[in-house]
Amino acid sequence: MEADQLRLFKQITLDYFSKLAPDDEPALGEPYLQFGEARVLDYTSWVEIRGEYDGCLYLTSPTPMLEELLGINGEPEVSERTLLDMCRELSNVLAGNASQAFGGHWEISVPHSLSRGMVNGLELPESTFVMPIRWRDSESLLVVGLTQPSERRA
Amino acid sequence: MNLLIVDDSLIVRNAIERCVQNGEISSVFRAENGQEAVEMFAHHRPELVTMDLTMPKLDGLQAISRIRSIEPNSSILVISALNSHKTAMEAISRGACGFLTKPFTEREVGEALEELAAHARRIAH
Amino acid sequence: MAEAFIQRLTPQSTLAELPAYGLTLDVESRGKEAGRLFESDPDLPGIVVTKAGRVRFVLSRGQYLRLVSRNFGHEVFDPRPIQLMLDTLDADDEPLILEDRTAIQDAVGRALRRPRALIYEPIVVRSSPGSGREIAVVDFPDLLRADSRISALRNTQMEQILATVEEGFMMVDAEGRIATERSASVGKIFGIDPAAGLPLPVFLEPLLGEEKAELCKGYLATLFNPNVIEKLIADINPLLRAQVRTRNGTTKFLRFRFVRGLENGTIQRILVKIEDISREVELEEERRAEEMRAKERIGRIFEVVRADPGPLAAFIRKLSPELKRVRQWLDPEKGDLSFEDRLAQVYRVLHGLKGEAGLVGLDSFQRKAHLLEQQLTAARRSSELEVATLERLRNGLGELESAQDEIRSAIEQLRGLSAASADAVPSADPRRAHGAQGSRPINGREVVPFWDGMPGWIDKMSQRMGKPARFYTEAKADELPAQYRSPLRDVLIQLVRNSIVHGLEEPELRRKTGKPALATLQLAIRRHEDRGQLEVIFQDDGRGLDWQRIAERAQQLGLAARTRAELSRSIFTAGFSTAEQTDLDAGRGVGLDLVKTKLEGLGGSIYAHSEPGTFCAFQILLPIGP
Repeated sequence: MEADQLRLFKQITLDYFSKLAPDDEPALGEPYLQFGEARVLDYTSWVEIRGEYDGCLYLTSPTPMLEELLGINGEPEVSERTLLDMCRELSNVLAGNASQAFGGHWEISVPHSLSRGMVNGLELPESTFVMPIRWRDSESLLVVGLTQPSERRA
Repeated sequence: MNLLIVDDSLIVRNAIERCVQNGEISSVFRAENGQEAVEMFAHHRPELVTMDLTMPKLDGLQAISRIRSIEPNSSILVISALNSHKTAMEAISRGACGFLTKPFTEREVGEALEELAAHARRIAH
Repeated sequence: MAEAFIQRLTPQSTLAELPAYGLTLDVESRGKEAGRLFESDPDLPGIVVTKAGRVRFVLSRGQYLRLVSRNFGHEVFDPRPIQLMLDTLDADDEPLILEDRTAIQDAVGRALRRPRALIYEPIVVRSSPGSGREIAVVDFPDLLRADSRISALRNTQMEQILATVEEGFMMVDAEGRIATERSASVGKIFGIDPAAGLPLPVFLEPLLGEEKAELCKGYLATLFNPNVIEKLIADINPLLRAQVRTRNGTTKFLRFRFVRGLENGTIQRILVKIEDISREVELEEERRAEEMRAKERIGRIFEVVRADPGPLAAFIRKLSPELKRVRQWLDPEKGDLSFEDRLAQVYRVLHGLKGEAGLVGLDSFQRKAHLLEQQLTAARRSSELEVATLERLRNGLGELESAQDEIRSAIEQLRGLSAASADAVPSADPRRAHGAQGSRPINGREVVPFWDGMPGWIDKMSQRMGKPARFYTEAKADELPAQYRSPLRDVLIQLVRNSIVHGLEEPELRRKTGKPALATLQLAIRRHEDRGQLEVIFQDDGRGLDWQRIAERAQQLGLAARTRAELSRSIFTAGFSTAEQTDLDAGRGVGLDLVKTKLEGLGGSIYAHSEPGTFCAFQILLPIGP
């Protein structure tokens, strides 16, 4: 994971909000390295990435943020299924929007929902970063771990 | 005219359906994966289709090919989070008419559906 | 979410344009009065509490709720004067009071420099006399939101530049070949006029590279495909922002737009519009970079605020020597270690620092350490020349060193500039770190010296100014009353800055005049029990005061000063500063006059003594109790 890639995911996240909630920019915390036990919030959605870079991305969100996101996506129903769906869809958009910047060699899986135990059982690349997304009084975490081609070759 | 909305996300299907303001669209069908989409298409033969790409069972690119083999004149708009040019051109070479990147606003989808309907009308004549 | 006031802001907006709440209570009012006000307006962020007509404190909603939600909170506070709440909150700090004409961006800066326990509290805004509501409370989140809106507004200037761009046009046929007709600026934009008949992707390949040229070919084919809806593929135009290397080696950014030309309902050709958007891209990148830098600065301050003071202090303390060791190992001229051993040593230290940074919460530092560690891992496997590898790693280390500086400066900002915060922020001093867990060391055993952390700061700053200096003192922390610690710290910071920026000579000049290249800054404290006075002396061994220039400046300002004693007093006059420029280290306009005012506020005084070419000393006298 390089600095440029971190910046890219920051930009994608900012672009998402600036499109759907232009008056309400999120505050992105400084990304930090995933260390020890992962923080897991109410809903977690995981996307596998293959191509020039291998790895994964997951988004873990508290219910209040997902409720707000449903609001800006125009969805009136707030229930277990729509909250989970929102989390999955956002992880899908954030992963998908990176594909052009990674040269198009970028295949993403269908998002999977994960339970707390499953998140801690994940095998993440050594350099996995956590980027806090603070928006409308709650905080989600976007976790991205990619393996660089050079690391793989070695 | 009928519309088939294909997306594995319930809220995206709902959002696209809310954008349907075109009086010409009389029925909306919904499918949540590529396989269901092909079955629905074969059964209802809608003129318009919006197609997600990343989906379980059968992905969007394969679904586009199968739908076009059933009906070469179908009008398919891809609505996907994947923004790579290569993916978009691949979808178009398989028969999609246009490509819209997620996230979208309701206005963007509304206008795109208008364009898609106009395109379908031109083909029908 | 977006309130109306946000929409009305302009880049010049001031505090006067933010929602303000002008509710005031006297300290003698009952607690239930405050409760009634908070209940009647759910948006009310705080109430101004006055004592004898003067602003004493802002009771924020959060503080109020914390108090009354204690056991028997309402029973205790409701029937009693608000003064009791203030006592319970231990509220002896003055709230931040700003004029309503303060620019919003300045106000955010001031608000962020408050002690960390108060950083989210409302601020008080004072409007010009006669405007009716003279004192009001502004919510801190409103201030932050306004600040980010103003940053966004500043970006719109870019749109105007777009309008002045010169556009090029050309035509392409179904085989992608460029037609003869094209606008005059095409040649200018590319630095070469494309030959008629040449396919566009072939013409573009040397300029854009193979991959983009291939995408362009695909996109043209897409445009000629009648099944494709023109408007619905604008999103995937691969040349919306294309970086072009022209023949003469310069790099430009071009925007290509494609429009179908229809004849009898069939697509005959494509009109290609080309704009040079280099300036726009450049501005946008500058703006992004600046935005990121600003965000990182604020992020760093929050990191420091959040960090656990004890471990943070310990970490900061070891950081500087560790990084110095790393730099030595990366210098092939120093030591006789093998290349592999150098890398192994560096890796070990770096890995340790990375872990510790994570533990104390310095995420930005941790991230940078990690990225350098990755470079190091890659370097061990690469076939690059060893010298080149070491140089690249030294550059990477520079990033870490500047991260270190930034953390220190975030700490300094929090400590030095907010008068009451000296106890709230960790320091680099071991004694301090030891006792840092509690709030205030009371028994005098572990008193924190007010110059705590200064040696390191002086070291760094004087290096940066190219005038290396050392700080030296034999003073003991318990020699002065606690209430002087924080103001004296501010004063000392100012005097040190003045010394380094104006007082000290460059090392070369010092050598020529027979002085050691390393300058000395000295602090001494004496207690004069007989006179009931405390004497603090700060002295440098620099060029001393320039009496000639001071006399000229005094005359300019119309001051009657002729003797040295009179002249030395004149330098404390407002507006006297003879500094040609202000920068970070010289301090912005905070001159000796403010130092004097601050000391006089404590019942003290300050005098300057100097011998040209030899020294400059400031003598501070403060009263001490019997």
